[in-house]
Amino acid sequence: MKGAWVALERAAAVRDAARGWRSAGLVDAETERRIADEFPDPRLRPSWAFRALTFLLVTVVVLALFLALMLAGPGLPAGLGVLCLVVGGACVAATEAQQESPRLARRGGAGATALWAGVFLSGGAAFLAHRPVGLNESGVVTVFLAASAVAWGAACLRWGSPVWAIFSTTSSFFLLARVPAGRVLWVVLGAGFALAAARYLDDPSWAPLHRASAAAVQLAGLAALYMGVNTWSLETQWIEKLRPGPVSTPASQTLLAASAVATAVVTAGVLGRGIRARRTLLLDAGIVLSVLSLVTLRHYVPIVPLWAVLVAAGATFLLVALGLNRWLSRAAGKQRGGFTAEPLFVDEAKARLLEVVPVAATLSPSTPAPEAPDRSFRPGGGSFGGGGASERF
Amino acid sequence: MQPEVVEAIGALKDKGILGDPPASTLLRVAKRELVSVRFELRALLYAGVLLVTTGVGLFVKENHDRIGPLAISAGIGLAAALCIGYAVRRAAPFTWGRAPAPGVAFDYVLLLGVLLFAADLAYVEAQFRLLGPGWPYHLLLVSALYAAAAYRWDSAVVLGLALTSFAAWRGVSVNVLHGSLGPGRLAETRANAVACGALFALVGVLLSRGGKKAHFEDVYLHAGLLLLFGGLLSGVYARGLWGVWLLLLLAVAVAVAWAAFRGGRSLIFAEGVIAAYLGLLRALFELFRPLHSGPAFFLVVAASAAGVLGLVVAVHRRMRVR
Repeated sequence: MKGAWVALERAAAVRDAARGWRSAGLVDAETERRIADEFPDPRLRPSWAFRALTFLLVTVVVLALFLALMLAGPGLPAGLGVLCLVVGGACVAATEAQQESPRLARRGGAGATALWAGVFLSGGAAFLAHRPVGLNESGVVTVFLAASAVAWGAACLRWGSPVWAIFSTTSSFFLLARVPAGRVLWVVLGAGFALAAARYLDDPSWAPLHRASAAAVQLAGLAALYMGVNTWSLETQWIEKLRPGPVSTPASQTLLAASAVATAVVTAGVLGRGIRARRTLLLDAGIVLSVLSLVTLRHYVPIVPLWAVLVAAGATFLLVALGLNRWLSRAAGKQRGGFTAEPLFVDEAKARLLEVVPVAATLSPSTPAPEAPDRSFRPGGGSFGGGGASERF
Repeated sequence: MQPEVVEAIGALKDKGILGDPPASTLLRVAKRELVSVRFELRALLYAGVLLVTTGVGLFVKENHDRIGPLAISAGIGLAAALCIGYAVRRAAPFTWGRAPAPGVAFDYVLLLGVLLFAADLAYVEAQFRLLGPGWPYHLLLVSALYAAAAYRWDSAVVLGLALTSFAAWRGVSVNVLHGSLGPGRLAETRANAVACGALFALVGVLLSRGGKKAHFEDVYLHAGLLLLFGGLLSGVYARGLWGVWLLLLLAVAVAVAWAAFRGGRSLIFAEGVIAAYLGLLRALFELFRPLHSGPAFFLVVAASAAGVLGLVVAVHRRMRVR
């Protein structure tokens, strides 16, 4: 990232923080305005709806132009690959131009052109590997993954975005899965990426967007480490199947037992580190890994029926959340060990409104079928037991 | 930690822009000495409700022959009563304004209670056939109960369920996961979607103007516009009188975008623009049908998107986002 862009990102981080303080009622509008004056950021930043709209429309423009050029092209063997590289290069230039302009940098268009730059450059390399180079399908996939890792990595370094960091790291791990010791590399490099990224999460010399990218790399590394040691992944040879050619011999019982222990250790380690370091991202990752580990356990030890597992797990989640909330809220200053259940600088009313979307998407009743002569009880409910409000429940 | 924010707080305090408090609290948060787990608690509560309701559905499916309808309905009813009892005990007094949330768990315990209650009602109706051939009316009843609970306990989440249940009664699915308007006859479902959408949007605006839970307006409007535009677009992309549907869609989308522009509602403006553009794409396909396989058609599509983009940029310059 250019030095000037980094300075603007730092100012934007302070202004964003001030906006949060204002929404929490800790500072007034006048103080927020004075903070904005102290940390000027001339870049225009529309609301997220405008940014999403711009992203969408720029995407349509880029794809339509690409298709027009493709159909108008002379149809040379290397034509598609070259065209992808040309359009990818044009997208890079467009992103650079937008980043330089205070009116365009944060409008949403730069994100769209950066995304398509990565896609077209990776795709172009893969098409060229196919024709005229003549690599087989497996070789083309390998070239695509390598190009993707490099392109997104470069995009992350230049324009700074955790999304590009995730794309680059994920491509790297899928590339590593294609070599003989893929699983070992996932475990070793997954742990290595997670540990290395952890060192830069608070590094003041890094730009805010690069620190966010480091957090994304840490998450991707942990995901690779967990997939590397997970018992189900080992037994089904999930990583090995990503490699071309025949799958290697199944894992021994000893290895499976060791992986069961490793699954638990990694989960507990991530959760423990999240609590000790007070990092909510690690805590969230730990919670997700705990759920995955419990699902794995249920897969191998089906001691109780599924409904009992679901109800018990749900009740546990509810009770843990209620207990934790009570425990934190009753402490002096409503905080214990640096944790609080209070919302900090978040517009709680807006957050409550946003929850309507996932609830309506998962718990809404099913629509009744137009004609259902057999209306005898067929339990199972609506989507996810959503009130069971359908003709079937 | 946010190093630039930590540094800024010190500088702002030195310049007298930030007092203390709140500077020391802000500094603790910026240094990650104080961390909120509010989001994690909410995620756990939501996952808990999802798992329990799914588990209960599965339990009934696997055991209703063995345990019997009376015991099952009594069991679910008791669980629902416990949750709703908690809500009754903890709730703030009723107000037409925004009621303070009694705690992070309140919304979710209430949600679990009303979901279990609705499940129980549906189970009883399916077992004892109380409504006879009018059995879909239980969805209307559920919707009304959800709406009453939403207004009494000031829950936007439960109001969302009330609206989706009402739409389900009319055979329309608001659930985007379903990928279609509903399983019924398309023309009928489309008409129902348009009618429900218009009704939701109208009720939302009227209640908001009347000062009755004005903060629920967003839930009404977004659910309403989703159905309204979904219904109209399904007409635009159908065979037959697509031109009429397109004119209708454009009229509604322009009206919505104009109202959103005047009210500074950027998300609703975006919904109007996207709906209008999707409709216009059908017109482009029809107008340039002979060019479909050539590059000129895609140049037209690119130019149209660029044109809309220019319009959006121009509108953004003049719009005062709320």
